Amino acid sequence: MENKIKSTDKMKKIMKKYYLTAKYAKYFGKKVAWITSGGPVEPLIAMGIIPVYPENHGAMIGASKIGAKLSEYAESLGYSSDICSYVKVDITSSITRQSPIGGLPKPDMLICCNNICGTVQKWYEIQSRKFNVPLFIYDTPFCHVDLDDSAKKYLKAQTKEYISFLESVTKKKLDYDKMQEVGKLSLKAMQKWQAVLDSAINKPSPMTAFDAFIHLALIVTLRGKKVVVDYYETLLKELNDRAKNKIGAVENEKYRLLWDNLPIWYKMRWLSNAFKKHDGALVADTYTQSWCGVVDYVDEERFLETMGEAYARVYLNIGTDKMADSVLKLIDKYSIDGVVLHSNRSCKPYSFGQYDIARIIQKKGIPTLFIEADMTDERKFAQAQVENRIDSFMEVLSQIKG
Amino acid sequence: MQELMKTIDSILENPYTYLENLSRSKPIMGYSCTYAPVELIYASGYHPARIIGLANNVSLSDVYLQSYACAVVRTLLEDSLLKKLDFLSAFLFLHTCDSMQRLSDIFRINLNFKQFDLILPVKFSSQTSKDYFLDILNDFKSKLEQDQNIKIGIDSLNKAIQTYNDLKANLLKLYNIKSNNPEALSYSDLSKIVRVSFIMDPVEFINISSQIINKIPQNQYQSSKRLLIIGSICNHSVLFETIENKNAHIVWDDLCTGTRFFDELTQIGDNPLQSIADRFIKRPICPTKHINPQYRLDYLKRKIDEYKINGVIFLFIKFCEPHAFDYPDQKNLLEKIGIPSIMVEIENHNIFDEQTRTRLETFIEMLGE
Repeated sequence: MENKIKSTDKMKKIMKKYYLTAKYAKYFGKKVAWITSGGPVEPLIAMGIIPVYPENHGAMIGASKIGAKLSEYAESLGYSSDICSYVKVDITSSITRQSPIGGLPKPDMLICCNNICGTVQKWYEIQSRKFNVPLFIYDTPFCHVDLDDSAKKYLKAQTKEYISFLESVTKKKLDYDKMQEVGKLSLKAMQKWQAVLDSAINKPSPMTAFDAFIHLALIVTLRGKKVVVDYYETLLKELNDRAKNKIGAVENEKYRLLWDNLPIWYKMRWLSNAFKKHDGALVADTYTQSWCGVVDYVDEERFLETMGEAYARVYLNIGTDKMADSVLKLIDKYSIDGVVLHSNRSCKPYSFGQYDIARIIQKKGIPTLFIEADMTDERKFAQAQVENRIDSFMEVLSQIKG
Repeated sequence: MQELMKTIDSILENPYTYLENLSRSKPIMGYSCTYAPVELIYASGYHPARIIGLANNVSLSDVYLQSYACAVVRTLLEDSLLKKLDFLSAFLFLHTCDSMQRLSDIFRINLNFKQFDLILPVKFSSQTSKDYFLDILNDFKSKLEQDQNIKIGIDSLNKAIQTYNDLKANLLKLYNIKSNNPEALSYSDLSKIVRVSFIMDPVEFINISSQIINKIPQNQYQSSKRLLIIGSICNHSVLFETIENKNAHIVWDDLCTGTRFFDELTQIGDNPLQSIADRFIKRPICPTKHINPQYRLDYLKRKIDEYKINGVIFLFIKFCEPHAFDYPDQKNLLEKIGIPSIMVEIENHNIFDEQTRTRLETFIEMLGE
């Protein structure tokens, strides 16, 4: 996070405006939909509904280091210490309004896509009861090996069902021309985001995964809007300039690392420094790739028709061995020397299977490091232990690579 | 009655020996949860057997799964790695929770089972999901036909449905006897009868359970402490004995080792696969499935009224998320309607500690007479 990327300030302004619009949606005569981070947002954008992402809000809470406090409050209500901390901080925040932005605006509807986990179904059921608003579940069959024809048919049928749901809640008809335009912008944003991430192929890399975690906000929250495409174009230009001038995100980049799983939001700077002191740069990650990894499955001329299959093929909705294949591709693409796996107590579908992924990576001669933590809850992070593990890992890496 | 229970106890003490013996006459398909279409599996020539891991100590599975995986997936994996499940000809994974979903991958990558995955819909509420349910059952039927080199006709499927309807009807009869006359049989025995039904040849089970039904003494005793148990899997006979020794009776449950397995029968007719899909949608759903956000609360309220429940015990396996998410709102509902409840978390489903015993005994005492 050193050698600060200048475009970040522009992104902060965009995000601030977005949250202000969402908070005051009623004054603009708009409806608000809470939607899961991997959910099909494009129909919402096309219908002028403001999408709000509790997971993005959870990340903000985590980065503000109040995740443990908010989780504890939810636990006092009876929520188990073992469930996802995003859910817990969201439940607390929706009651107490505690968060860096004073809580999220009340939803008019909830859109839950289970392509990231089963947790979101339970989370959105809870919030649907609390806010007494309608819930739509976009059900993405899990893809252990491949998606079969029945699943593809189901996904297409659900897209129609989804649009009917939105039309019924808003009492407006979807403008299919507008939808086509949003679809194209969404696809373009994914391509630009991929190009941003690919700037890290350069040596030294002009950005790190920590930068990617921050710049991810737009592709998650405003996908389908022109502002996202414009912003990533600006960011890409800056990153390309940095690459041209050999300005690395990490001074003296020697070891190129890949991060697996969600970030540890409350320890981003500390982790960045912990690797940097060994000349290690986390140049890629599996998490931020999720918002562009399925771009090849989307046909911009048939966006609505192809959207469901693409959403069902995201990184977290595929078999462990398929995930390992993706990691191996990233290792080649970004010239990775070692892989850091965050075993995340809050995210079982991301974390279970990691031991197999690690074994598959190790067979290719790439060393791996496990860090036990939680994305939002600081109570699950043992700093001294993690520091020791990073030091030992980097020492091994230096022996391998010299 | 005692003799019949002895037979059941002996099977449950070592279900794998029973299945290993059975595997000499027909192939056995293990399955992981109550959403398995047992009728279809049975009609294909497989004996469907629900496998609940037995391992007390989990060590081999640590190589594949983090410590924050629940005991259900860890013990199932442990038994497989210990080669205790080698009598199985195939294993069917049902898409339910995130942990089970990844366990399927771990099996596929590391173990040599012939494996099937049935990717169930998550929501049961829309026509699209109902259509999908039927489609995947059709796909599964085709895979079974190919695997077994047979054609599964309507008659054979209806015959299998009839067999499992008889099995489920007997379980329902036993639960109704228990509910109407709580001292007639212990919940510990009732729970064993349900669990043995997962294992035994269904015809053999219908025979033994029918004999039990005929032999149950019909006392006229009514308990004032009528309890409902909620959770996923519970094998704790000792736990049930602890509760019922304190003059309280578990008259109903919402467990997948209980009513969720057998509630609702499957229609016999021209489209048996449609009937199987319909039955899954009509039976009480588990927390991994969705009909509407209020469903699980409404179901709880309905059962409390229907069975005149005085107290609720939540029995959760540590790290079981789906139930944990439902719990706070269920607890609040119970508080609102004045029904006391207690939540007990079990680290490993084969361990029941003294602290848990004391908490349960205190809870039952607090219910009064």
